[in-house]
Amino acid sequence: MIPARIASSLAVCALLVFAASGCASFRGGELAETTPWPPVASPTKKSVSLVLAGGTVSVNGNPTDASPMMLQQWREKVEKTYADSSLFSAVLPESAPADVRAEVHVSDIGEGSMGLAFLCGFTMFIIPATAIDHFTMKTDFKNANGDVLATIEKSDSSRLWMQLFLVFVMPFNWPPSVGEELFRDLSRATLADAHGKNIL
Amino acid sequence: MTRSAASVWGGETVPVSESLARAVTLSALCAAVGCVSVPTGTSLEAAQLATVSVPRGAWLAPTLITDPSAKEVVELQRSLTLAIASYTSDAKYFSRVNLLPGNLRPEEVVLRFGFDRYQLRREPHPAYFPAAILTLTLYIWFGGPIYRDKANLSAELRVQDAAGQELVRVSDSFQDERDVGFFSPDYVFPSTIKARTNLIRSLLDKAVGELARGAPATTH
Repeated sequence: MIPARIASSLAVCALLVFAASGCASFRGGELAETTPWPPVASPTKKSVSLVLAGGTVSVNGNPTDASPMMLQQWREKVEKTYADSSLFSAVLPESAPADVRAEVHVSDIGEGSMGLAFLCGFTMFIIPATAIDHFTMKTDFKNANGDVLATIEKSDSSRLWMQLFLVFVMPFNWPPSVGEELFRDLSRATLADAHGKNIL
Repeated sequence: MTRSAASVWGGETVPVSESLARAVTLSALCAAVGCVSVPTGTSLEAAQLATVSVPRGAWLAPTLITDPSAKEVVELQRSLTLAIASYTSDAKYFSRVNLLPGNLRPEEVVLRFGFDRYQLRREPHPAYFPAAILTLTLYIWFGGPIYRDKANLSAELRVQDAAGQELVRVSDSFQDERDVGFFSPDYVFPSTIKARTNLIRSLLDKAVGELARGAPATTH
């Protein structure tokens, strides 16, 4: 029988270990920063309708579904960047008639070691584990007649590390924030290219 | 799996970690209540080249999902519409494929997909509990089936001309059952991608076949 005092100390230790477990995401840096941002908008702004779908989504080569929650998060991030760009008179949902339609396909190829992940958890995050997401955003810009004006593809990656002492890095490389920045930058680079091709 | 951390700790999730959190929740729910509906996605397999095609353009109307058990229907419909459009375009069933609204040419057609069943259910495999206990969990470690995933999809495709007159109406359904062990890729990430793609391909094959023959028809 373990005395109550030792048991409670063990429980506190376990809680601390779990609470202090660290994780942090780091960008791959394949995508150059888009400057200047926002681009100089043309005097006559066009409206855009936006639709997004999950393209290839896989984990260690096994195709998997992009869940509705993931799709919603991705679309909201892209939509926000389009709205913030000041390039459009309006950013509309896919069902609304617009001057330009942007059809965005997002692919996420994920790779990670299951064995290392098991060890990481088993050793209370002493042994680190890592996984990487390769994102590709392919956007078809079309006019109201359905003609393709341009197809633009941008890629970048994000690597997640998990280790106890990453708790100190976590505030600066918080995975959801890194993911948000990645989508923002992919969308910005896409819009800058489209703007450079004079289709916006 | 390494990506769980962000899901557990973040109010918002990074993509694959979200999938993992979903899988863990599903596993827990499955163990607790016996059977759960899995939130289905909209991804499709890479398109196979169509065996029959027609030399006219097609416009895809927003896809409808009327299955009352489906969750996040609006997001699913949005994404599925574009996924089907891309698949149809890549498979080259039509000379070009676009999403409505838009300016149709007189010879172009409108495709209307509607799903009345859009389900993936996960339940414990009947052998799991007794076999795992009797073998002191060796059953699990040697890959014995833990779950049984059941996909149940049913859909209809209506093809209309530019004036709105119905040319073809086809419907089909697809059921799929698979056992999932600890080492199966579906263990963490259950999906209906294969079943969904098969159903959509079947509907397109039938409808475009009818269009190519030029005879309005209803097939099942």
